[in-house]
Amino acid sequence: MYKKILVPLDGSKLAESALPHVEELAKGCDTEEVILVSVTERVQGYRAVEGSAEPGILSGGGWGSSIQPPLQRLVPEAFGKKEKQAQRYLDRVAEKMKAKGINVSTEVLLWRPAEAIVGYAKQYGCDVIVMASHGRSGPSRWAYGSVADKVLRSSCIPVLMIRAPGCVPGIQ
Amino acid sequence: MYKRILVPLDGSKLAECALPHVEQLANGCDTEEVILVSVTERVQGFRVLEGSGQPVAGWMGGWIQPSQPLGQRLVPEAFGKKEKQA
Repeated sequence: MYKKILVPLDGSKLAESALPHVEELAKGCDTEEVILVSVTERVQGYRAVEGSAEPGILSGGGWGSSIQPPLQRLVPEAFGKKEKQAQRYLDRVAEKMKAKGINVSTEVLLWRPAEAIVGYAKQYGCDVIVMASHGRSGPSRWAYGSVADKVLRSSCIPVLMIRAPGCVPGIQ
Repeated sequence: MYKRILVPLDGSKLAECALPHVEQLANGCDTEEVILVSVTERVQGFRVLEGSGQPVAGWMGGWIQPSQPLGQRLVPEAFGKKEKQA
């Protein structure tokens, strides 16, 4: 059922708390591919994703309107320092998962994070998004971090939200 | 990893859209128990769940306080119409 699992990571330990769950799902649910994505908001340059239908709507600044799917994907020659860091990080995580026999691919996207994650999932036909409730901005009294919250509200595919450590129980 | 899965249902078709996913998880993840729960807000009376260790017996009136673990389970003799439906 979960052929393609999308796992957004932002480089933080909190976001990685989703990984054991991803591994468990991947083993039990005949998963074909786990896609690790990291989103950077500003980039120095990018190209349209190959085969994407609407190459004309891209504008130059790295920001787009929220209704457009994230059609841009970073190409190596356009990588700035931040994007290279993100790619290296994803590669490290992917290596660990590959060692456990899971088919992993990685992707650095550029966009606003929530829009990019949801748009990518839709465009590439992912079956489920598995992510931690909090990431780089740390645990807080809020039930979800802002990105997790947006993904949860805007995604049309199932979202498995893993509570990051530091959860405060109770309804606020 | 997911030994016990809790599935809240409210009787609606929309809520049931979680069920195929529950089945998938239960098949793939060595799940021992799937617990379907339906919560009704007002009850006519309830008893403390056996073995729950919550000393709240006799607390009547319906609203289950959110901060309190849901240790209560309806007992048959306390069922009203709404609860029987669920």
